Amino acid sequence: MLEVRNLHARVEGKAILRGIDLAVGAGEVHAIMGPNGSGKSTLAQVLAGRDTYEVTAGEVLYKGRDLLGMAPELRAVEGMFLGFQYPVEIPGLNSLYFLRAAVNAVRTHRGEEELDAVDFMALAQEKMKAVEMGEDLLRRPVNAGFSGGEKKRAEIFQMTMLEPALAILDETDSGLDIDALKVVAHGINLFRRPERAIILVTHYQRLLDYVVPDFVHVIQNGRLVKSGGKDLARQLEDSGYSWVEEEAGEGSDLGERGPAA
Amino acid sequence: MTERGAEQQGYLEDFEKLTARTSSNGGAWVADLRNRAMGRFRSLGFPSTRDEEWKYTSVEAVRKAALRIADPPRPDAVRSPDPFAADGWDRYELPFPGAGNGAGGARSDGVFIGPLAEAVGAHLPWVESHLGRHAGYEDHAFRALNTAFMEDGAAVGLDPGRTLDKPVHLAFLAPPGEARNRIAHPRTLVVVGAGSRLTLVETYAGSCADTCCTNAVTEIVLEEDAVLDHYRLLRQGEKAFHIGTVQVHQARNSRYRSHSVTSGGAITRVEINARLDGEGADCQLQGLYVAGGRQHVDSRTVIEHAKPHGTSRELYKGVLNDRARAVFNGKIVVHEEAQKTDARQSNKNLMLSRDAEIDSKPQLEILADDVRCSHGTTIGQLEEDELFYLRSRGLNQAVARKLLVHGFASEILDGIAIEFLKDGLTAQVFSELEA
Repeated sequence: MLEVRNLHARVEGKAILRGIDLAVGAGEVHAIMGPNGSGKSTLAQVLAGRDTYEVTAGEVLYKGRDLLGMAPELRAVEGMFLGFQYPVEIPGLNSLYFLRAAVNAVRTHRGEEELDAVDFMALAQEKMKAVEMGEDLLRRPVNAGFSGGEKKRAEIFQMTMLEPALAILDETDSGLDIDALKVVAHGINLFRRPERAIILVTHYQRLLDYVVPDFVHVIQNGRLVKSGGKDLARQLEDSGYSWVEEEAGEGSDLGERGPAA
Repeated sequence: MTERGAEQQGYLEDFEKLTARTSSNGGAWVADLRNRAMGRFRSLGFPSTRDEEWKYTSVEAVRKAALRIADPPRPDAVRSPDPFAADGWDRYELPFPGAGNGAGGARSDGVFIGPLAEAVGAHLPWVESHLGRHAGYEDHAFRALNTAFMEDGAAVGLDPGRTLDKPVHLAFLAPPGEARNRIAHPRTLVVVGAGSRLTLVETYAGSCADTCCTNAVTEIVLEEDAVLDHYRLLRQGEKAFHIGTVQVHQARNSRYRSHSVTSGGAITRVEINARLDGEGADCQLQGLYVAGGRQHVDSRTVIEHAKPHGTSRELYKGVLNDRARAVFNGKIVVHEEAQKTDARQSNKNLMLSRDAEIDSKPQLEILADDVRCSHGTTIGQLEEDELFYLRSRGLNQAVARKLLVHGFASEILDGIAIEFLKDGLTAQVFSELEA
């Protein structure tokens, strides 16, 4: 589904991603964990096509095609979804109108017929139930005045409406109380299918109690420094990131600290 | 002949013809008003950009174009199609130019909706007490011209305690294509009696082959507890000039709500002035201007709080593309007597092009000491974060931009309570940006 090879990216001259390698297959759930500033959100944004970040080396294949050459909207209609860490509020833009336009953009690209207002509403009502989202939120402008928890639920709701093949969820668990976390996790679990893949970007392990990953990767200084199964997440929770840092510190930076530095 | 004499020559000739034609209508006070206004225009001449009030808006093209008024407006005058007419919209309608006596509108117990000339000719008392008494022409050449030339236009009068069952639509349409170098001076008087309610829609539309100018003045009088919802919608052709004044006089506890939407036109200047001359009056001004190409649009408002406990809310939004230029000049005056005034003003601009320009000038003049007043201006571009969010959901860049621009403007357009107008207006307004 997704293959990231030696991905380097920088913003305003500062290197953030410094050689990411990652392969994600259909049906898999990957968790990418790391401390603040490790580059995990940058990775999510680069994969979704944010042009604030400049890719300086490496390549990404999505369904065998060159992802980095695709516009963000093409990535989306081709089945990629980014759940934002901080979903933007857009006062004045009606949620229903926006989401129907998005759903129909995806459907048109797939060669399916557009949904009319009635069919769209029926689908939306069904999907909203799964994330226990009040219908009134749909009548409001996009994310405007939503609480933190409402924004995250709305992201998961959008994901289930757009039915992507690859969902990248950036800190979807942050700012949620335990009840909201369970609801969001339930929504993600309902979404899991053998033909879909999910990348969970998170700081904490607790989401992974409810959405059990197949693989866990630790990101540090713009590199994936350790990979393992779901138990790795628990180890991190118990011992923090420092032991990984120490382990990874053994020589991993030497390549760049050559004589020229 | 002096330069000013030369540029005024056509206006003087037209004025002689007009006074000869209209002398039998309305009595001496009308002729007197015309003469005084014409005299004022002769000494003022057209304003130049050296004049502080016209610093950002040049009317050189109007001055040089030697514009003439059309022959007397006839009831069967050919008019451009009305872009604001919507099927199924139930309203009292007066189309201009040339709504003849007895045409359209309504004349019943305590209600008059009809051509201004008819109201003047019928010696209706509220016409003589208010026409020309509110929109000052002493220092304003265009209002002076309008007052001197007023002929075609509407009068709407409601006695106390009347509520109309449907809106009044005054549709001012330029004659189609062939008219050249014309100026029209539509004049409207609206008097809403104590406790009466009215919804008034003024629309100005149509195009012309070369320079043409609409110079409109609307006087509005709201007596105690009267309520007026006023829509002033502009959709003029690319060579059209539009100069307009709305002058509102508000008595105690009256409420005035204005929705002014401007698109199209080469040069547009709309002045909306409200004087809150009774305690507890409320004034709400909402405006939207959308301009592209090399259009110039100038919005000026003056809200004058003359008595205590008045409230005013003003929000003007602008969307500018290409090399368009806009001016916003909003003044709030609070007189010494007008304690407990609560006034807020805001002007927000969305710039879609680096070459567009906005001159925004909010002004507060506060002479009372116990008031709450605020004002603010913002000038911004489309937010990259918002664009990326929409694109990440599959919407292409053009659609995403359009949704965001609509979102910006919706704060004003959503305030339009007449559904029949809203959809068409939204489409027209944004066709400007897609051209």
